[in-house]
Amino acid sequence: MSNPLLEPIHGVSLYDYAAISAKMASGIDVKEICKKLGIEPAVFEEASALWVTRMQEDGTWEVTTQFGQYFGDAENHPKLKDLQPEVSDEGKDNLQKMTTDRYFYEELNGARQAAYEYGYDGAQWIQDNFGISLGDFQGVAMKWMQVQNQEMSGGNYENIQHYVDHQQKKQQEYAAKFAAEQGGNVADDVEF
Amino acid sequence: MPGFFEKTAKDGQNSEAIKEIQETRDRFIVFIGKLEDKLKEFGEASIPELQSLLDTDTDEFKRSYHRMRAAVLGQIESIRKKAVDVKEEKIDTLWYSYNDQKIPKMCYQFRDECYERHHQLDALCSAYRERVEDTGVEDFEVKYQRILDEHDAIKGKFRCTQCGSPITIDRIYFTTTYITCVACQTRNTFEPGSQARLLEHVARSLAEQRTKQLLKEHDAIPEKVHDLYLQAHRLELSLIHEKDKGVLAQKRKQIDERRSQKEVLEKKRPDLYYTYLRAMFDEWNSLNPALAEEHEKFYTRLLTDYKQYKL
Repeated sequence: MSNPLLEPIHGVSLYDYAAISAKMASGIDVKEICKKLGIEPAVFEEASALWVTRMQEDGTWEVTTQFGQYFGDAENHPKLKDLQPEVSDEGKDNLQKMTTDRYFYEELNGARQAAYEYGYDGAQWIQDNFGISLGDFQGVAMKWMQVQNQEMSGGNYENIQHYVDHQQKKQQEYAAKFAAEQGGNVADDVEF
Repeated sequence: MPGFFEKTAKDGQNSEAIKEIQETRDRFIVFIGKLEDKLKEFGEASIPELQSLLDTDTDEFKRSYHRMRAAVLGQIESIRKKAVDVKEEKIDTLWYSYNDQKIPKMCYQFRDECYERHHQLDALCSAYRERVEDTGVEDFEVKYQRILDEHDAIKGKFRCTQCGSPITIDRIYFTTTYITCVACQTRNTFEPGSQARLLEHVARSLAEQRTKQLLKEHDAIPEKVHDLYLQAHRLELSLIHEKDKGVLAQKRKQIDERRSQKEVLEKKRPDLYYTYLRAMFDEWNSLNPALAEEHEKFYTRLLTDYKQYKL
C-alpha cells in the first residue's frame, strides 16, 4: 500500500469503512455491524471521523475513488458479506434485476430523480415501491458507474448516451405519473 | 419589430410563410408571457411558505423542508422545460423549414425575437431558483449554540458506572469516547448527545459563515479586474480619432492608472484567499480543536490546490 492515506485507522481499513457505510445505508444497525466486524462502536466512530478527514486531505482523490469502489463491493467484504438486511422476495428480485439489467437500473435512477422533483423522498420511494434500500441502490450504482467509466475511457460515448437517453425518457414518464398524482404541474393549463 | 414583418408581407414575398411566421412569433410571445405569470404567482406563494417551513421544522435534518424545496424547484424546472419543448417544436422547426427560402432576414428576425423572449423566461426561472435556494441558508450560530446548551446541560451529570463518582466532561465530545474514572480507574463509555454529534459539520459551516466576508473580497476581484480592463479598453478605442494632444495625454494617463489598478488587484487576489483560508481554519480549529491536526492537513491540501489550479 504505497499511499499512506490508505492505511487503516485504528484497525479499520478503507474497505471496512466503506462496507460499514453501505450496510448502514441498507438499514442495518451500526452496533450489529461493529459486532460482526469485531470492533467497538467508539472505535468505528472515531475511525469514521478520521476517514472523512483523510478524504479531505487527499488532493489526488484516490481515497474517495477507492471508497466508492469498496462501497459497491460491500457484498464481498469477508466479514460483513453475510450481514443482510431483511428484504422482501420482490426486493431481492428487483435488486438482482437492477444488477444485471442496465435498462432497469437507469429506469429506477430516473424514477428516483423524478420522485425528488415532486417532493418525495426518492430513496424511500424506491424502498417502498421496489423494496431496494438506499445502500443496495448505491452499491449497484457504483458498479454501473465503473462500467460507464470503462466505456468513457474506451471512447464508447454512443453507448453512454444511449443509456442517458433511456434514463431521461423514464424520468419523464415517472414525472408525468407523479404530476398526475398531484393534480398536475402548475403550468399545465398554459398552452401554446 | 412588427414594421419589418408588415413591410415584407406587403412586398408579397412568400406571403403564406410570412403569415405563419408572424402568427407563430405572436403566439410564442403570449405563451412565454403566460408561463412567466404562472412562475411569478407560484414563486411568490411558495417562497414564504418554504421559509416558514424551514423556521418551524423541528427535524434536525429539515427533511420536510428539503422535500418541499425539491418539489418547488421541480415545478420551476417543469415551467422551464415546457418553454424549451415548445421552442424546439414550434420555433426551431419553423425556422429550419423556412430558412432556406427567400426570406432569410425575416427568419433570423423571427428566431432572434423568440429566442430573446425565451431567454428572458429562462433568466426569470434562474432568479426564482436562486431565491428558493436562498431560503435554505441556515444560521449556524444557532446550531452551534444548541450544541453548547446541550453540553452545559450534561457536563456535570455524568457519573462512573462502577463507583458513582462524578466525571467531568471537560470538552465537547462528538463521537463515543472512553473516559477513565479518576477515583476507581474504571473505563466509562460516554455517548455524546444528538447535537454534539453534529459538531464537526456545524463547526466547519460556522467557520465558513463567520469568515465569508473575507472570501467575498477575494471572489469580487475578477469582476473588478474585468471592469478595469474594459475601462482601459474603451479609453484606448477613444484615442483612435482623438487629435487633441492634451486630451490624448490625459487619456493615456487614465489608461495607465487603470492598468496599474488592475495589476495591483491581480497581485492582491491570492493573498486575500490565503487570509480567508487561514482565518476559516483558525475558526474551525477553535470550534472543534480535537481535529485541529487533521484540519491543518486539509488546509495544506486546499492551499496546494489553489496554487495549482487557480493561479
